[in-house]
Amino acid sequence: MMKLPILFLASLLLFSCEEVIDIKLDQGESQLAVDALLAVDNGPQKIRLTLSRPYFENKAADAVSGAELSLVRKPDGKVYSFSESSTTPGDYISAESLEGMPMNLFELSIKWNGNEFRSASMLPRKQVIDSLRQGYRESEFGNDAGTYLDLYADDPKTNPDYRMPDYFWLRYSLNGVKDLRLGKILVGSDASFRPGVSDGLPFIYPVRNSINSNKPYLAGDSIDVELYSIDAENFRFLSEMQTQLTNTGLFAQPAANVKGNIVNVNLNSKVQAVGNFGICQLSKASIKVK
Amino acid sequence: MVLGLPPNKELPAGFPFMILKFERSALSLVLLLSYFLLPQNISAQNQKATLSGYIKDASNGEALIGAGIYVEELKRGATSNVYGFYSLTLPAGKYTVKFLFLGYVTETRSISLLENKTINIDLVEETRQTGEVVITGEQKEIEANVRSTQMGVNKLDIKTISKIPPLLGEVDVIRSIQLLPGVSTAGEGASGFNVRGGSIDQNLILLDEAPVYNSSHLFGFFSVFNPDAVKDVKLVKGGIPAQYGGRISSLLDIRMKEGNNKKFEVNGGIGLLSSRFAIEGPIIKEKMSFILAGRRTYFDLFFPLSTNAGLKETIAYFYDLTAKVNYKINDKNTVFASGYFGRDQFGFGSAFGFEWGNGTTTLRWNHVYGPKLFSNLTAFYSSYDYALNIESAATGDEFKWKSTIQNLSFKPEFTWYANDKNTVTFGGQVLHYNFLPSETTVSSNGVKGDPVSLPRKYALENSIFISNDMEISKRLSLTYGLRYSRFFNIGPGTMVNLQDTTAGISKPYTISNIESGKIIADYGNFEPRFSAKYEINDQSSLKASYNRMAQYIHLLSNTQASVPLDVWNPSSNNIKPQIGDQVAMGYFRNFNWKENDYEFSTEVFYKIMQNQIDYIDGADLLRNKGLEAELLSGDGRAYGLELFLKKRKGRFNGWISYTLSRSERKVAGINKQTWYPTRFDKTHNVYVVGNYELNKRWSFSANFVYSSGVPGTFPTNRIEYQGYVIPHNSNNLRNNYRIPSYHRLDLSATFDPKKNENRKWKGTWTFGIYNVYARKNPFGIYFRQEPPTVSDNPADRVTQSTNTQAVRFSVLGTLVPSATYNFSF
Repeated sequence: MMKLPILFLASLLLFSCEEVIDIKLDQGESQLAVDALLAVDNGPQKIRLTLSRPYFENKAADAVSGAELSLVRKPDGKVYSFSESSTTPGDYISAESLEGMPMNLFELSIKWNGNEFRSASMLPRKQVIDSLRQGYRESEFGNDAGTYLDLYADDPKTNPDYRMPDYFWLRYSLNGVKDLRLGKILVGSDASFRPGVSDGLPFIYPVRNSINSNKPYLAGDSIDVELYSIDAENFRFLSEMQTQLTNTGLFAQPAANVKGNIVNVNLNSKVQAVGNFGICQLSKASIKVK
Repeated sequence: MVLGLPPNKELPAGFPFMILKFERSALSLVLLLSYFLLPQNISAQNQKATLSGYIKDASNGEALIGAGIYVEELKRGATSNVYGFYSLTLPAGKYTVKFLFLGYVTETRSISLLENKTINIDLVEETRQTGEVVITGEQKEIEANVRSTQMGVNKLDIKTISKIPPLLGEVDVIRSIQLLPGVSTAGEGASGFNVRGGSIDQNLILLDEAPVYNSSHLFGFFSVFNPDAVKDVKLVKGGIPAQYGGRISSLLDIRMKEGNNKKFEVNGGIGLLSSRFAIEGPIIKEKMSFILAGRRTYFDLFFPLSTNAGLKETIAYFYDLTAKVNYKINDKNTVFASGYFGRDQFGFGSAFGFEWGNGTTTLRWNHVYGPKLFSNLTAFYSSYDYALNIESAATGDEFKWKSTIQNLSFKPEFTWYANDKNTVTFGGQVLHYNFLPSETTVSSNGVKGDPVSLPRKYALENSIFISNDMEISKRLSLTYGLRYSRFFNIGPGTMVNLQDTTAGISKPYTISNIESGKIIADYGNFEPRFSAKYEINDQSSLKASYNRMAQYIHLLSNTQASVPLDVWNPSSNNIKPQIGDQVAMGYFRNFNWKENDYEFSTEVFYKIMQNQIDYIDGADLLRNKGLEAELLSGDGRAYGLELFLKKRKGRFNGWISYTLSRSERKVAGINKQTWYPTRFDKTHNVYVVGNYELNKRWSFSANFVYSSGVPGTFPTNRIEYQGYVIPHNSNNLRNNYRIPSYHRLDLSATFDPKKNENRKWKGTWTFGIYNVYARKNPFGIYFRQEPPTVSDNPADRVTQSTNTQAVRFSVLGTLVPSATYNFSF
């Protein structure tokens, strides 16, 4: 995250430029891609299965139909079943809302095309959005004057029963549409971006301010904020995703595959799946701009 | 070979004393050994006598490095060392001795050498007519290119460096180095340089003997050395002499001016980016002199005048200060004190601040024990630190983060001009490190967090060496030496114990605390060095060399260009020292063609590097107490061919350099554990540098750079996850593509008004254009999802896209003109 001010300064001082170009890429094998971020206590949950495809093939992903999915909660062994949607192939919906206690382990199994893939994720404790506030800000740092939002939340202090840092992913929607701007991906830990330095503090300013862009909100806008509390493995996956999606400039990191947590039960199989599975707690808040 | 104590073994009491004792006994052993190593004609010295002394510039008293001494009757020669000292042992007799240095008037003396004699020589610089300098036969006789056993060496004096067309008017040492064979860079504006396929942390950069940890200002665009204070720059890429160690790829030896000891002199310049000012002169005439040089960028001084509120508060500048004093106590003793302090500052009002800088202090004492024994004792302190501060008093928010590395060292070195056939160099070094990986404090919304620090790390790197330059016959000479280095990572500190050995993943670990004085890791390495020269005839020679180097500290950097935030880390129980073995062979030739003088060399090299550090995908390198669990270790290899042709003198001069090379890694957990090119691998590198003196007023320079594109990892597939499109290479390959090649032409013109030759004030103008044809040289190619659009239309505020695109990033997308006014009085 510290990359941002540096990038800002480097580009400010120099004459750098970016151009969209045409390029021909190598062929790669198409693989099962799992998109499964499931929240407890939030009604039926969805897992989407697609096939990865050539990078520049800009059309809707091919859905994977006919897979058998099951989710088991440990240690009690409660099984949640998922069935494929009749209207959207590739979407698998749970029959009921998921429930669990922090430290419960959820194991996912996907059987498809003669292969079985597995993954597991641990339910973390919940971080809660305290409030959203709106206010007028003068023009500063290249932002226009107008209405901006602040998000308030406190990181729960790490205690001896729960020895790991808290990890989160903060997302928001504007008028019902998720803001997918790459620069807006916010994956954090404790009250800041990385674990270990801000345990038990109120969320730091860049996080509180993160649900804004450089343009003010308009009267009538409705903003829905979602704070996902995730486990360490999902934090790592999302951090890597963030790095790879915003990887540009002088201090770009080497491009690398974002490592997911889906494995083929047959470890020697050449058929591998990509994507990620995570079980999370979700805190929501909404505000309407006046 | 590694001699190691088992980790965590306790040292005997009086630990530092033990180390010193070890050094001392080792030194006496070295002395004893050298006695037996030498041919036994030492005892037959009674008919021989030694001529020794210093060779200096008559106008300012600066020592001349590599000046020649040539004895006409014997057709034998020698050269002066970095302090200008020479020693030559000859049969007693009467000789005509010539003292010479390129660009200086040769001084001829008739010397009756019946006993040891000290003769100090001041050479006078040739008055330039039209720049035509005649190279005499004697000069060729002592020329390093063909005569010296050293290979893989490129020297640049400051006059050459200052002719190279500058970027934004800044004469730049590192940028000049990047025009030499075997040297390349990861890309425009990338910090540091890569030598023969090595990474940037494998170069030992010494400023007056003290190591410099970050050679860059402004994130890598400029180097930290003020050209007004630099005298001489030498890059050694192979056959590295035994007195140097600690980095496996190269040595960049930068010597500062001593300061004019005859008269006061002021040099300066006003450029687009920075202004420079240097003053030098005698404190006690001919005995004690000083130089003080400073430079600062000043574009930020105009920011407050801006009407843009954002720019008004922007802080962006760098500066550096260089100071040196030397005192010649008598003919036998000279002491030097030199210091460097440089800093980069960036920020935004009081809200944001980012700064970094190096500091070095060196004390040296040259002592001449006699005509045959010269010594230099160096003590230095060197440091590098950075700090990041983000603060908002209004909201009660604060983030502070700093990191430092500090060095303290003592380094005695002796040169024994044993007889007319052998010169023995020996000595040692004690080097203490103190690392502060990070110290962080956070306040949020008025609540102050506990300060979080990663524990300091301490280490000791000791070494002893001996080396002999030996002339076996008129044609065959050898340099052979041995260095032994020993490294201790010592407590107090922490030890990371990895719980898993699976390659390519972030490994689980535990941390144990280590008490003060206990050893976390201990490594020892013998580093043999060897080079040989065979003269085919007076104009050409063949050379071969082998060297082993050990490196105990490592710059952890996982970005395309190194960031000032990157942290140096010592070897530990998990991080093994890097070992580099290099063999090189070369052919060297000087020749005349159409009455012009040329120097040609070609070298081939092969280098094997062990324990190269790489990183797991998505490695977290900053402020991470389990950092060592994110590292991978592998092998490196590099090989190549270098061609170099230089026209040294005349109105038109310059050089052409071509390098064909490959630099690769093999790391468990990356690229299916097969060899892949490093991120700075460039197959072809062509550099052309030319200078032309049109007349007394105008001179022109040009340089052209061509290099193959660096590799990159390009995706094959796309994966959709939560609305995002993630690039993915399903073949799991690293660096499977090449970005397009890089080429650039730079021009500069220097205008010397020469109004009045007798006027004290002399001014010249330099105009430059960098990247003349404004090529958008790619630095990298990146892949991204088309950004969504946000409109003010209430019904349709956000429009998403899942289309993907490739983006070419160029650091300089345009030509960059500059003008500089330089003055001296």
